[in-house]
Amino acid sequence: MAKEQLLDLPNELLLFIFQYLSAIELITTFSGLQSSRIQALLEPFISCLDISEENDEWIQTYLPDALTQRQIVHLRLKDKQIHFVSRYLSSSNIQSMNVISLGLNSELSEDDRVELRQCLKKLYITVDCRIKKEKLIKELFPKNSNAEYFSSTGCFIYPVNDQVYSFAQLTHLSIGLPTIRDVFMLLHRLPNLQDLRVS
Amino acid sequence: MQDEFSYYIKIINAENAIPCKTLRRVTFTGETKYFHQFNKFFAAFGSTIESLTLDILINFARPNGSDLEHDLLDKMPLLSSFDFLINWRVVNRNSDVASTIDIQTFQSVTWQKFNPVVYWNDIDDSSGGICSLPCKFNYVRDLF
Repeated sequence: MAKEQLLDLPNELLLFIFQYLSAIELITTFSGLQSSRIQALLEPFISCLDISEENDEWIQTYLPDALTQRQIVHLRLKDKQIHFVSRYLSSSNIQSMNVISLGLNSELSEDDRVELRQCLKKLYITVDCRIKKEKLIKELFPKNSNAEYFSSTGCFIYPVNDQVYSFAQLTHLSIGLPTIRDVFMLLHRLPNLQDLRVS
Repeated sequence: MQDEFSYYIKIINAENAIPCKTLRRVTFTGETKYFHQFNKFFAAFGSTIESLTLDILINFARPNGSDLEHDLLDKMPLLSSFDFLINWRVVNRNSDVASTIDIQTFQSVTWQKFNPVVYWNDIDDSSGGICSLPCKFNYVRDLF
């Protein structure tokens, strides 16, 4: 079926079809389509977006418009993608993120951290099981390291180098932390947290 | 214990950081080496917690009802929901297998507010644990 024929279908059928497509497929297929009817019907199906498996080309082509023009409220992404996303956070509706940590996220800039702190209400950090975390940390911080002060699971939220900051908006957090001291320290930077999950 | 936290407390004081006083739900999962420090956490942040879930594996400790009451429950006056599965491994099999925790300690006034608790001691597996009922954790459902 050609796209033009598809657009002739009634709303009920379009909604039925949209159920079987991912948010990524919907955005890829219908971005740029000048149809306010279709775009309005799409919104509930793309409010939660998973870009963790998308390549840089897709992200650069589709994500800026998706973040700034759509009502996307939840984003699932890899930590290395945060840098690209962070610049759009303040102009998007993103409130919730699920970050898949690869353990190499210590490169996150202070500007990116600021954006996260100001915008996010919910943050879920999960570790990619394919990465052997401890081995990785040993390789990254071989001797006399600051590994004690880094958590491979979301070090961008973890206090590093005596930084003064707080995540004022954050109400939900799921994170892996190595010691109770980390939890203790973190909670002094989350004044409005309501739901905490620690693994 | 204070020494372990002194570095962090020093930083926190220097920042005039505002501690979280809005926590309602807390969940700890997985193997933890810091169970003995939970009391510190709940003393600091437990006053607002209404729901607590523990699904943890610990070593070197076998908490009974009095331990949990003193270290956790007493520090959370608003707690109304407490679901837990605490597993432990028997470290020194020869000396520990025969000893069991006192289940009478789960019959205090404080524990009356919460659901019943089941306790098991698996001699063959050198392990044991306690779990609140009805069980919400797959591991225990498989066990029984």
